[in-house]
Amino acid sequence: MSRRSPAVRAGLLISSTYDAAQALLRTATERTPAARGRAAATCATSGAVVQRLAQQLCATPAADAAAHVAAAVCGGVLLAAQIAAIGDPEQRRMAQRTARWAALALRFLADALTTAPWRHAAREASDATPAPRATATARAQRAAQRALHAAPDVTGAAGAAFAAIVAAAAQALERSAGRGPA
Amino acid sequence: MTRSSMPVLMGALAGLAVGSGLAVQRVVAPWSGDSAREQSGRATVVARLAAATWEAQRLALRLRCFVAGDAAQATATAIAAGAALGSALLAAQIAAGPQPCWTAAWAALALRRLGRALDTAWRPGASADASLVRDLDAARRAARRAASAARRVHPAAVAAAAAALDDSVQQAAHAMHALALEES
Repeated sequence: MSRRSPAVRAGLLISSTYDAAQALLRTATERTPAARGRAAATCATSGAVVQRLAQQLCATPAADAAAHVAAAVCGGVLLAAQIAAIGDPEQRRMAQRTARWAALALRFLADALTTAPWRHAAREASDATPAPRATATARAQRAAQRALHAAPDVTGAAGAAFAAIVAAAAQALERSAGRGPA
Repeated sequence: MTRSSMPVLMGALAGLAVGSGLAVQRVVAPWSGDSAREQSGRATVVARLAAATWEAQRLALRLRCFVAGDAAQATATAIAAGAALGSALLAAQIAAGPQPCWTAAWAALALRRLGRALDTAWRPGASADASLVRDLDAARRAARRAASAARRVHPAAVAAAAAALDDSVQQAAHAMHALALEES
């Protein structure tokens, strides 16, 4: 792996996390069951891409944070699968709130990734960004908690898993703040 | 797509569930050391789990128009739960190092038995098939044990993912039982 490749792969990881968030949102907002199913499948595709990128970042300073973010996206995929399967219109309305908060949590995680120190070629650049990163990780955790509380009866254990995994990912991103560029 | 392709699709979905079970176990299988190559190998397995999730969702979508739709979607969700658990286990392992893992062993068993049950559930006369009941019971019990093993040992994220897997497996088992009754 070249010296610059972790930064490039982290960039792709960020865009795939945004894609997963977008697809997760669509699993609740699409009108037909088939479209919701397609959105869940798209979310899973992004999850697979994120996992592949996290795999490529293994054995770099980014490994810990990338693996945790990939786990969070997989938690989002689980939530998407669960939401897409809901047939009852009333339950689906409740699940929409969960999906909105969960998608927001993934977006904030992606935002936090953009400020990860191993994304930058120089340590000076990473030193300049802890405040936005801390804000983004805190917002991600809050959004995940709101997703958990939005419709607990509908999403069940999937919501709790998502919230816990996002919290772990936020902590991993904070831990990565102490590490320099790859 | 015609109804005649349903056995093929259901068989493929059942195979994905079984394969996902094996992959969950491999994520934390004992390794001789903790070299970068081994870590990368585990990550590859997790990436395959996520890819299996996508494939399962696609199959569930195609099966939705048949009687097996609910069982297929529930199984796809269980496979997605397996991917979430596998990812959480890998992330915890990268952060904290390898440790013995009953969670993965029980979760793997749950998915494998669920896959076997799915392969039986759509066939005519499945409701009278004793192996279906055995597989579903074993899947339910194994998922419950995975959740309780995770609560005892693992960090919160893994414990929550294992609980989600338990929830998904219970739902999938329920859907498969209903499918077998419908088909009989």
